Parts: sequence; structure tokens; C-alpha cells
Amino acid sequence: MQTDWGMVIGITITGLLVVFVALILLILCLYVIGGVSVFLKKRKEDKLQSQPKAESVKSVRPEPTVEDSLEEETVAAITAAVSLMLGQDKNFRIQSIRTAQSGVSWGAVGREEGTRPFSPFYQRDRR
Amino acid sequence: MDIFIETIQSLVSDSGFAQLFSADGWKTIVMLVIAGVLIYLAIAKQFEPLLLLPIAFGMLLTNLPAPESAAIFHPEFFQSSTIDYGMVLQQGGLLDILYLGVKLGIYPPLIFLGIGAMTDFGPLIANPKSFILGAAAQAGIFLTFIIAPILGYDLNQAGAIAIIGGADGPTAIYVAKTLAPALLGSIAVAAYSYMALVPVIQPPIMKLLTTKKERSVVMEQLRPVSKTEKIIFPIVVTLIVALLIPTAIPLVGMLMLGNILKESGVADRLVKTAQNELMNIITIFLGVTVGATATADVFLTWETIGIVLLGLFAFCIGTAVGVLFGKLMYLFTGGKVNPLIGSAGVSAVPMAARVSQKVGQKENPSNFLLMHAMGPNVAGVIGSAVAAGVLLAVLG
Repeated sequence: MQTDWGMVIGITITGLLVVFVALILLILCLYVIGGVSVFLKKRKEDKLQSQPKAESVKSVRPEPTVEDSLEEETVAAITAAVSLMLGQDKNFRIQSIRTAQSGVSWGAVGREEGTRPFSPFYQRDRR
Repeated sequence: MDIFIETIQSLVSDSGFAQLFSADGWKTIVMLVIAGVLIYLAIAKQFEPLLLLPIAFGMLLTNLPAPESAAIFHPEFFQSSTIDYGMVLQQGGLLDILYLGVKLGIYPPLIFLGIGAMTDFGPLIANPKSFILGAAAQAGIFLTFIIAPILGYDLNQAGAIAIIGGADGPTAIYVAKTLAPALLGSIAVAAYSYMALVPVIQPPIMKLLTTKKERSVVMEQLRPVSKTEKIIFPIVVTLIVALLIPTAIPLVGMLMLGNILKESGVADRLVKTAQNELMNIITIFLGVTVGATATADVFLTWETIGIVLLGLFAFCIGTAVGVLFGKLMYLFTGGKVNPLIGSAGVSAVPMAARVSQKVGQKENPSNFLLMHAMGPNVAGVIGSAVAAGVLLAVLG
């Protein structure tokens, strides 16, 4: 079969041209989109920089003092328990956590009453 | 006793052994050996195993010696321009029905959907000039289109063979099933084999066409790309390609659909399906059915050898022209663009980009070209789909 070389060359040149034109159009579109995006980003940054800095009222709070023997999980559990006890409406800040001192005192009695369900004596009496 | 002998004789005459020792039995043996070699290349050498293994096994299945009544695939059902669906459904087998996905052009766009869902077009959006390199690498397609008729192929066959130069398997299958369905098996095997050979074929061409100084160029870091740009990109590409070359819409449209699903961030489930389950299912169906078209009558011809040689030519020319355009960009930008990224314009993603990175690092170990090369690499996917659209529009 005779090859129509005119058609072959025509398709080759047209095909290459169409591919290049299509992709060059995409390049131009991307430059426009990119330019707009960079412009908007720069405008946003300039706007943020030009606003007066709001005075910071919050003071730097010191970290709570925690006994060395206490693990982080224990501190977290204590904080969670306090939060649960106080309820959602109360804001609080842990200042320090230390092991309660033993010895006979009203404080010791109160702790014993308050933690009775977890006391080994309570567990023994219930058995 | 006679009935027993007759039954045995009938079984023997219908068995594969009888077909093997027939006049054309040697062709069957050769095809089985070729299928075995491809399976070895896919498994042992890891030559694009995800596609080559199903293709090779499809080739094995279709060439198994069997009588006509037991054939697993009937290429004669699909040779005319219109499909007799009744015949396919009543007399066809599993592969005949699955092949409808190839014949009707369903599988390649779905593969592109998955590819779009896996592709990050950020490097291309950050450096739009990469599109030029993606376009340049498609020169391999059109220059092969000129050479193919010299070897005796008609224009449709030339178009189907030339698309191998795009280094894009689904695109090659999509074009071949329309322009030259009889050559589909050979073209698919050639296309995927050359894609796997990218690390072997490209480096010598890249080194031949560039100087040490050019290969050592360290490119500037790409600018960050916003999410808005990544969402607008697929919409813009779809619109522009659709307006220029409507025949490319099935491929480019599905590619961009996959990409917008990914970039939108609101369709994670769909993205995961497109990237995984959908891709895997379609890959299996496509590979097996395309491989099944590679029967002995079609594959063991001088045409197949021509396809292999022309495919290699297309690939090499595409790489060379991409690198040459990279050199032009190097000159025009005052040495800011490393010409090696031009070779990544062939759309073998991400292998071609990795080759650019590797060759560049040989000259300068601290040079990281991968993301710069990904721009032309993904541009090549769009470029090859556009080129396919042009060929289908003119020849289809």
C-alpha cells in the first residue's frame, strides 16, 4: 500500500505543535495561578505584620513543683482526678504535688476517710 | 471394547498433546517459551512485575494447546469494528468478557484514575517550565510515526507503535486497541518491557548528550505549593485539554479526577480505593486480557520484531530530545536548569525521575534532582495522553 508521505509529515508536525501548544497554555495558566497565589500569600503576610502587636496579659506561669519520685503518669492521673472533682466549670492550676506526710493528725484521718474505698483495711474488712 | 477405544481416541485427539504435535505445534512451544521468559523477567528481574506478570500469564493461557471448543480466548470475536455482544456472551469465555474492558476503552482510563490518585503534581505546579520538557519527550512518538511506514506499516499501525515512545502502558494499550488491535499484545509487551528498562536505556543517552558541568548543576529549591493551587490544577488541565483535544478526555479527565480526589482531602476512602483495590483489579484484568491477545499467529511475525525495534527507537529519541530541550533551558536560564531532568519527560513515573537523580548524583553526590525531575516526569504523563488524543483524533 502506497504511503501518503504528505499526510505522514502533516500529522507529525501537527501532532507536535498541538502537544506543545496545549502544554504551553497550561504553563501560562499555572504561572497565572501561581502568581495570584503568591500575591495573596504576600498580602496576607504584610497584613499580619502591619497589625499592632496585642499586649500579652498572660504572665509566664511557673511549672508545678512535683516530687522526684512521682512518675508523669501519676501526675496526669492526679490532675485528671482533680479536674473531675472540680467539674468542667472550674479552671485550676496545679502548683505542686508531694506525698502526704504520715502520722496521726486530723489531716491524716481526713485522708484516710476520703480514700477509704482504696484503703487496704477497707478491702480487708469487706472480705 | 470399541466404545472404550473410541472414547480414548476422542480424548487423545482433543488433548493438548495432539495439538502440540500438529503442523503448527512448534509455534505453540515457542510462545510458551516466550511466556516463560517474560514470567522470569517479571519475577526474577522485577521488570514491571505488576503488569508484565499478568501479561505473560495471559500469553501462556492463550497459547496453551487446546481444541477450538476449549479455547480460553477468541480473538476472532473482536476483529471487526463492531462487537457481537450476543456471541461474546453466549460463546465466549472469561477472558472474552474481561477483554471487553480493553476493547471498549474502559480499563486504561480507570488505571489513569488510580495513577492520578497516587501522583503529586506539586513539583510541576511549582515549576511550570517542566511542561516543556514533558512535551519535548513526546517527539519520540511522532518521529517514530514517520519511520514506521518505511518498514511497511500502515498509518494506523504506525500510530499504535509510535505511542510506545510515550513510555506509558495504559496509553499505549488505549491507542493500540483502536488503531491496531491485532498488534495490541506485541505493543503492550514492548511498552512495558521498555518501561522496565528505563534505568538501562536512558543513562548512556543522557551522558552522551550532556557535559560534566551540565550534569553537576544544582537547581534551586522549588517554592511551596498551596492546597488551593493543587485543587485548581486538575480542573484547569481538564478544561484546557478538553477544549483542544476532546479525544484525550477519557485519559486526562480520569487522571485529573483521581488527582482532585486526592488533593481535595475530603474523599479519603475513594482515594484509598482508587490507589489500591481499583488499580489492582483493573491491572489484573488488563494484563491478563492483553496478554491473551498475543497468540502465535500474531506474535511470531516480522511485525513483532519491527515493533520491538521501533519501540526502542521511539524511547531513545524521546529521551534524547528531552535532554536536548533540557540543554536549551540550561542555556536560556543561564545554567540554572540541569539538563538531566529533560530525560524524565518520558512518562515512566517515577522510574525516569529516579534515573535523573542517580545520574546527577554520580557527578555531584550532594545533588538532589528527584523532585525537580518529577515535574517533567508527571508532565510527560499528560503530554503522552495529549499525543495519544491527537493520534486518535487524526487516525481513529
